[in-house]
Parts: sequence; C-alpha cells; structure tokens
Amino acid sequence: MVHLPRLADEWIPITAGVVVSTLLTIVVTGVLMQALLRRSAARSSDPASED
Amino acid sequence: MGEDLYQIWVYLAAEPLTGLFVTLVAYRMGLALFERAGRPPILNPVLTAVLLIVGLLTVTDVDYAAYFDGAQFVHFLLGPATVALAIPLYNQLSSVRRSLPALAAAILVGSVTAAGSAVAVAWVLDASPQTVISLAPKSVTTPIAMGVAERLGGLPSLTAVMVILSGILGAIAGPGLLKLVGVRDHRAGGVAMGTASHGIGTARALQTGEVAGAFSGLAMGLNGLATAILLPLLWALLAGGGGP
Repeated sequence: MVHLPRLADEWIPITAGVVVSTLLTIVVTGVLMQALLRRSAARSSDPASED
Repeated sequence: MGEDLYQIWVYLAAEPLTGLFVTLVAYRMGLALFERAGRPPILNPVLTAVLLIVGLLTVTDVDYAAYFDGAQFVHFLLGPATVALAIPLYNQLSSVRRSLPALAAAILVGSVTAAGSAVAVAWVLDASPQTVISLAPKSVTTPIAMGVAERLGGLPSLTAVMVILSGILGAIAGPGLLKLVGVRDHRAGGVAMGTASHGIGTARALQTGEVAGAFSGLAMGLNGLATAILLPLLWALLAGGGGP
C-alpha cells in the first residue's frame, strides 16, 4: 500500500471527513429533495410518488 | 488427491481467469452471507467481497496487478453496467422531468455539502493540505474523483480509497439514516444515495426499487458533472483568498 504511512498518520481526519461528509450529504440531499418535491406537488396538486 | 489439487492450483494461479473466478466467488459468498443473516445493512455484499479478496491477496502474497489481470473482465463490465442505468431512468422519464428543478437544486446543494464538509472536518482535525485536497471529490464516481483530485494537486489513488469508503458507508448507513430523518419519498432517497455514494450507493438504491435506482443513477452522474465543474472553481476562489 503506497499510502500506508499517510493513512497511519492521518486516519482520524480521513475517517472523520469521509463519515461526516457522507452521512451529512445523504441527510441534506434527501431532506431538501423531499421538501422541494412536496412544495411543487402542493403547488400543482401533482400526486406525490410516496409509498 | 491432495497432489492433484496442488497441481490444479499451480495451473490456476498462473491463469488470469483465477482473478475473475475469485472475484465472482467472493461476491456470491458476500451475497449468501447477507441473505442468510436476514439482510442486515452492515453485511453489505460489496464490503464482504472486498474484505475477502484483500484477505486472500494478502495471505497468498499475490500482487494486485496479477489479480487485476483476471478481474479486469469485471472491471470492463462496469462500463456497460453504468450505461444500463439509462434503462430505469428512461422508464422514469416523466417523473424525472417533473422534478427537474428540485433535482437540480438538491444535487447542487448536496455536491457542495459533500466536498465542503469533508474538507472542513479534515482541515479542523489537522490533516495535511494534500490529504484535504484528496478528500474533496470523494463523493463522486471514481474516474471523475481521481481526475479532479489530480487537477487540484491531490493524490488520485488516495482519493480512490476515500471514494470506495464513501460508497460502502452510504450503502450501509444510507437507507436507515434516510428513514430516521423522515425521508420516505423514493425519488428523494435515490437522489441522496447517488449524490453521496455514487455507484455503490446506486446499486443499493436499485435494491429498494426502480424509482430510487433511476434517481440515484441520475444524481450520481449529475453530481460528477457538478463536482468536476464547481470544485476547481471554488478551490481557485478559496486559494485566491489566502489558502495554499
């Protein structure tokens, strides 16, 4: 592994960066998308595709 | 009998197809474990397969290049598989068209969130500038992420590792997390998975259904595009403001 020394030194910021960013992005994107879809559905009374 | 098996192994180990066989068997084992255990998210078959192959290569001391000789056949299929994502997308075309403004806004915000939060967290925790740069494009599909990292002065191969980690983490935690924060719309869930976790997230979203899969595949592509355009611009802007 070429990056083993770097990973050994910096595994905390790397892991934290990956974990926080991935989970935060899922929440932010999902919540925003759902809110925007609901708003436009309410406006055009377009049936939402929820289950 | 033992001697026969050894002979077979000597023959097989020199064959490029062994890499292909090992890859397929590792994935089938991962899938069987996943199904047998009642499909718990943590036993993601991709993760199990990766761990099995890494373990096998380490134990048998086979180097990655030799393994990849055979595994390249699977690697090749990544191209057609990605193009095939157009089929669920086509089936959902009218739904996609109706939600286009929401889609664009969600992906843009998601793209900036993914890069911004990764950079911010790593920077606060004292990562070296090169590591911070390598983290920035980690939510987009590997070839784009590596290209962006290279352009910004990061380490493309380090970026590739982070891309895979983001994909696996999103595939494992994504569906539960979305439920937790009340996202029930399959379109929204799909966009979230594809934006944060590219192809691995999309593979997971496809298990949920065609709607989630279609939106995830689209989000993965559009986030790749947004990141490739926005990240170098934002980076230049920040660097102009006194950064590296």
